[in-house]
Amino acid sequence: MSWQEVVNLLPAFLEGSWMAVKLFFITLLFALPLGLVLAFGRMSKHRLLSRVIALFQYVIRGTPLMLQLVFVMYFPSIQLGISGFNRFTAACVAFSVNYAAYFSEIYRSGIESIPKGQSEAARVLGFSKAKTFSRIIWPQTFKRILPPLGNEFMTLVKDTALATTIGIIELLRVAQNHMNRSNSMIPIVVALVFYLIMNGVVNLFMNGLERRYAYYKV
Amino acid sequence: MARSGDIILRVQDVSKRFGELDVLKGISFELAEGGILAIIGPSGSGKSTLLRGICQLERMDSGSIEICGESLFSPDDTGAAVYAPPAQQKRLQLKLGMVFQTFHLFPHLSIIRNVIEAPIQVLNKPKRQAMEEGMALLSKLGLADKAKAYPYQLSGGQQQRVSIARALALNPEILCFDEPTSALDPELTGEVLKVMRDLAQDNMTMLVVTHEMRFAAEVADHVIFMDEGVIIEEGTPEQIFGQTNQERTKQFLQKFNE
Repeated sequence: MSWQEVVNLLPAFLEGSWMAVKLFFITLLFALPLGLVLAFGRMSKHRLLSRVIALFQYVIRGTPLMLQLVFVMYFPSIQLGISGFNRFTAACVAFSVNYAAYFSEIYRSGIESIPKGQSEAARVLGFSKAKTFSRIIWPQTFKRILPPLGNEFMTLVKDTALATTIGIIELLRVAQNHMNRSNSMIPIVVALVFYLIMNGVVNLFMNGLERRYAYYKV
Repeated sequence: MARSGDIILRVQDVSKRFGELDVLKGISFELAEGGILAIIGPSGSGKSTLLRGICQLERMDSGSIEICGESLFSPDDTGAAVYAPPAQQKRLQLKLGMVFQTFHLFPHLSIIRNVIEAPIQVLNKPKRQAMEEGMALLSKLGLADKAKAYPYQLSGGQQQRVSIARALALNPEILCFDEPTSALDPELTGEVLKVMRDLAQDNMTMLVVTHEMRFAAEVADHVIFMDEGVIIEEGTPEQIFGQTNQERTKQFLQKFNE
């Protein structure tokens, strides 16, 4: 492949990356809050609720994301005989639910790692439960879960490639198509660089957040 | 019993069981306004659980507790504790300040924010007023220059003084201490004990669970010795430390004199 051919490929690669970026942000938009709701349910004193959520987490984390994509995409039309989601919506739903399950366990481990004395101190100072969480527990939790959240964010960038399973044209699919057409590895290498650039941005962002919260130690 | 004022804490026949273990077996005592009560006893005697019951960190099973004339809980026909409505519980919570053995300062907040967070969030004080009062408290405890620091930058003794300031910021009627010097290096206990002595001078009512026998002897006006969930003996420091005739108390005190 000549350089000119590589340059000609760039618009298609950018379009594939844009798909990854959209999927990334929409997934985070839904999965981050949903994960917190699930974490609260999982930590609830209500035994049944806690168990139902644990089972949900088990199913989601115990099966391939690829399978979940296929399930969300085709279940409505094949099993229910209704039109169902378009491809991109189906991908957003599957990714959001899947990542929420992982985020919920990160939240839970973070919240449960805060010493009991913190909530006890807040309680004797008269803080309500909501204020104890929002003013005392959550800020400390957030600092602690930044590294595992960063892991998940980087994995999500890479997982967007799985959307190809339900026919979405994303970065890896673009690269593979061009590899087959040109019988060259260069498109794959270009895709590799694109993924690294995207995760480089994620990495910089997470490092920045960690620095921002470095002013105190727990 | 205590040296002055009306009774502001009345504990009657309070019991608590953790599973199979009777931690408190019918504890009764009173504390008068301005009084300083020291509770001593070996580990596992139930003294911390008692304090946590008074501060509502632990639910008691039976008996009654009255704070400033209001009931926190009282027994029903079977003797089981029935707690007051939530609003009353909350009101009574604010009459008590609590100082923990391991401070439990909020690590993500600066020292001054640790002190003013509850006045602002709980009492809805304007920030400026809370700030002025908080700074006055820190000055009084010799910590004004640490206002902008974070807890991890302070020594244990300083952290404990901040936690005392944090409790005082809500103007409690009674200040409770749960072994306030037990987590400190010996050379740091002095500064905390000095603050407690100053508070005693200011007529602060204090309930102190402690291993500091000298402090109990010097500052408290009443001492309770507990073991295995019961009060073995109570009296003035002179009675307890000078002329106890209880074998169990003698044994316990002897260990501290070794």
